[in-house]
Amino acid sequence: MNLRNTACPSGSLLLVFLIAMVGYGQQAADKKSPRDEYRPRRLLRPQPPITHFQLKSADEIGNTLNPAELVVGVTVGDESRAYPLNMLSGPHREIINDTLGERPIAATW
Amino acid sequence: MLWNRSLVMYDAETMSHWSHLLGEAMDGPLRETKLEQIPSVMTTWESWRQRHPETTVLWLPRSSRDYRRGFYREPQRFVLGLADVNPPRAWHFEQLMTEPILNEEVDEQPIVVTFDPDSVTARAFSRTVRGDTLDFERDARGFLDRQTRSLWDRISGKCVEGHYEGEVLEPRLAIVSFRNTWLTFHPETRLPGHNEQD
Repeated sequence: MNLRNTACPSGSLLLVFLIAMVGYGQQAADKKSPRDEYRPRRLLRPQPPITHFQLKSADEIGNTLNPAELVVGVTVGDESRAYPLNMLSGPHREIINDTLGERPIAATW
Repeated sequence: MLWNRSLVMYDAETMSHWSHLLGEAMDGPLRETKLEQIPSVMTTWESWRQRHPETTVLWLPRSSRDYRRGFYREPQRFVLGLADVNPPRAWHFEQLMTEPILNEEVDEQPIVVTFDPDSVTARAFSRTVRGDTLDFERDARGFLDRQTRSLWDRISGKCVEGHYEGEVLEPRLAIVSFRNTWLTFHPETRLPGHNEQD
């Protein structure tokens, strides 16, 4: 439940994220870091990246988003954007490849 | 999803595997590359909209109805976690519900953890503003610094009234996580009930 900016040191790489419900193998209860042993479990084929989607303003939304619905909110530069969790849920969603404040970002949840 | 098993992402360019929670490539040509994390907030639409009336909003057909305030009906499952300090720190939502403003020193850096019960929003900010390190306390309208009694907003970190009006506290890269998942990925976290020390 966080946002990642996809800018890499190389600068020119635009990373577009596919979704894979690959489970991360559960570690035994010793003190090793999870990084030491990466054992993914594939549950689904990779999903196509989401790069195109509608955006609405707060006025356009009106009452179609309930005030109590959860969003991930982010501001980059002058631009603010909300990503409603009820639109990010499920294996076909989860990662939105977006541009905000002229930076390429991946909004993931 | 963040529950015991955690999302792994691919990038289309290299098909490297990226751990969602760590923000790092675990396998593939970009292995060990870390993504730069941007501060963000998990909150209700109402609280975001009030603070950012000019916001745009992603719009896709809803794939769920579950993610509303009621998602937190079992607060013991959740923590606010901060991983860019040594050791990582986390705070139980249950603790934040009774102590919504916590002045902390993590990795020798002064931070404040804030919790807004109406929107169930947890955040962490730096306590240093214009070179001054402030100490905060709760207030019904938000939170106050003891030094000037300025009023600050728990969700945005913005000073809405008083000496520091208009200033915004620097957000830290804290995220809301399921407690068990956080501890799986950051087993060295300091958290009451887990590695509690000092």
